[in-house]
Amino acid sequence: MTSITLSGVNKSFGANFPVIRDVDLEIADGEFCVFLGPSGCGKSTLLRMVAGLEMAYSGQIRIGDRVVDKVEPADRQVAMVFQNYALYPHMSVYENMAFGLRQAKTPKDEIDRRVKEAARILQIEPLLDRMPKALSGGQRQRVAIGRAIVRQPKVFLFDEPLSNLDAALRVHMRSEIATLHRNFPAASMIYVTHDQTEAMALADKIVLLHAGKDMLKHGSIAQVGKPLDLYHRPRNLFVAGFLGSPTMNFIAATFIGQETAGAHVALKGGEELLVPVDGSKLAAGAPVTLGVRPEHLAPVPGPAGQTLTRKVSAVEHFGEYSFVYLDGGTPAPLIAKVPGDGGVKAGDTASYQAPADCCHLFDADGIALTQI
Amino acid sequence: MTDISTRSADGGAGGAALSLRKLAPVVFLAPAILMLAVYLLYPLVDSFRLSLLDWNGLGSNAQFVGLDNWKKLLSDTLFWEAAWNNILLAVFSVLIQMPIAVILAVVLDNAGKGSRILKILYFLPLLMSSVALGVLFKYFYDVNFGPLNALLDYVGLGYLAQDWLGDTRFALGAVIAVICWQYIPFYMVLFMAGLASFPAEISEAAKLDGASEATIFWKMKLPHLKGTIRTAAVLSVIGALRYFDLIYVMTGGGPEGSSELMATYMYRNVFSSFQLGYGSTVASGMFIVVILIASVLLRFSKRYETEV
Repeated sequence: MTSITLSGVNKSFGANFPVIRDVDLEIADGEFCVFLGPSGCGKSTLLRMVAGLEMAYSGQIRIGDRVVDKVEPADRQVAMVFQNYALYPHMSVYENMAFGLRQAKTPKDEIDRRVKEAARILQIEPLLDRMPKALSGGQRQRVAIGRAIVRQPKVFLFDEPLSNLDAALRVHMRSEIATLHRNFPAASMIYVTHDQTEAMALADKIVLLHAGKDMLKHGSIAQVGKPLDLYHRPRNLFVAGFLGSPTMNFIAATFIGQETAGAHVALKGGEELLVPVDGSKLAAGAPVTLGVRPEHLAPVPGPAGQTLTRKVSAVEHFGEYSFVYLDGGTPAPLIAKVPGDGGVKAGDTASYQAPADCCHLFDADGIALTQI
Repeated sequence: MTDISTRSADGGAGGAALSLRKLAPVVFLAPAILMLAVYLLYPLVDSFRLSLLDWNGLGSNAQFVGLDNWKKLLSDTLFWEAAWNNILLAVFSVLIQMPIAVILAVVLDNAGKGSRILKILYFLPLLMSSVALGVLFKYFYDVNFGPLNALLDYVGLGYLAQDWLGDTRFALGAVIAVICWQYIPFYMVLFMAGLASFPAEISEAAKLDGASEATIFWKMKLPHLKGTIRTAAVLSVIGALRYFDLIYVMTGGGPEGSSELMATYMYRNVFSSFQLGYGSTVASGMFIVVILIASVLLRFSKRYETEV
């Protein structure tokens, strides 16, 4: 049993600054769960609470069937990989990896076997005698992962492990962590990152945490689900706006009425669109926000049904695709991600179709209306 | 023609800038060099000059005696006993001050915010003048009225009461205890600064690996502090070899020279016996001893650093 259950977990630093708010979460055996969110949302704190390095103010944490709230970090059968590697600077790579096993009084032969096996998996065998200061960032990260592997934990915890690496190495190490998950299918993994690309690439499940101006939501779970669920079916404006690069376009709109095929809305720019959601609880004239991702805006020759026609304010070319910036977004300009050079230039007026099934509608509280 | 004149004008400006750049370090370093020359270099050279004279330091009756004072110094048991006391002071300073300072630093580092008052309290001795401290502890050790003997008496250990500063067996030890008490806070602050730079993640990683606080201290924090401890030990040894004030105030080097240090011996020769020539020889001899020991220590610590 390597599942992790958090029930009603709260944490605050001082009386007036809650960092984790009412977190209820189930992470299944062998699942790769990513805690995602902007800086300061409490994702690392939540991870550290699972590790036992931070105490919850209230609530319960279970690993498998065992409540671990009062269990020492070393006895939780978790291993953690830190952002800054946290290698023991005065010990060789071998000693770094063996340290935890020595503390657990593991027989010498077994320590040697496990360290060498981990070194083989991570291809760091030639580095075993080196000191940490003689290693590159990528090598240090491998040693940190090796130190976690040798303990054969039930749960692997990763606290932004790739954020100190350069872009190319980050992509490489990301695939190695995915391989590690395949090699240790029984162990659950929790991975903290603010990088949605890492989250989308690695996660079986993403836990997106709230942060920002709304202090009543800060540190609470904005949405939990499979990566593509969060991407295609965001539960609220925060999730819709956090996932995706460039971010989802938002346009202020007014609810006109509910039809069988969906909610009929009028955009601030004057267009009327149909969004396949259930808006039956909304009153006619209610303010709503339409959301559509840049890659779902398809260029069309001119105004027609489900289209947005706007003045082009700028075009950015990236070779394979271009970003066309259009007037009229809320609060940022609209962006259409189109293939090639986009076929337009700044100052043109261009039309883009927003397919109904790619549109999202959010009520005045920022909650997504249910898709039908 | 125009080209040439332009070039020469440029060259002139460039030359001025270059000479200004060369001059700048000299200008900035001059005050420090001047101070060192006046207060360090000149007295040093002059004391070597004076060591070749037989002179009471008052009149114009100085006589050049060559190396006679140096010959006397080499066979002067009082000087070598003083030098030995300096070495004892250095050894005990390191052996007593370093471990206690490390322990205090670790305790205060772990104590969190509540330790702020303790940090100030522990630091107080260092802020006190050595002379005031000397007078205070002279009273503390007093054989008749001193609180130490009274305390021993009070707890039933009256038979251990001594004339702490008047007994040749205890005088040096009694002063060493006060010196340690005065300087431990200095090293404690150094070690606390060292511990503050110890990454919290390493402690956390070690905790997850099952290490106890004691293991974290011995295997992580102490190796992290090694460099600071080494520097502190060198400072402590050099300080002990040149030490003067507390000994002078508390015992004046006595009784019977049992707490004499090279510096107090030099002072006595110059200002009590009015032997400026021989006193300068003692000062120069002391300089040589300090330089030799400090060089060995620094060389050793540098080699150690390279090895680590």
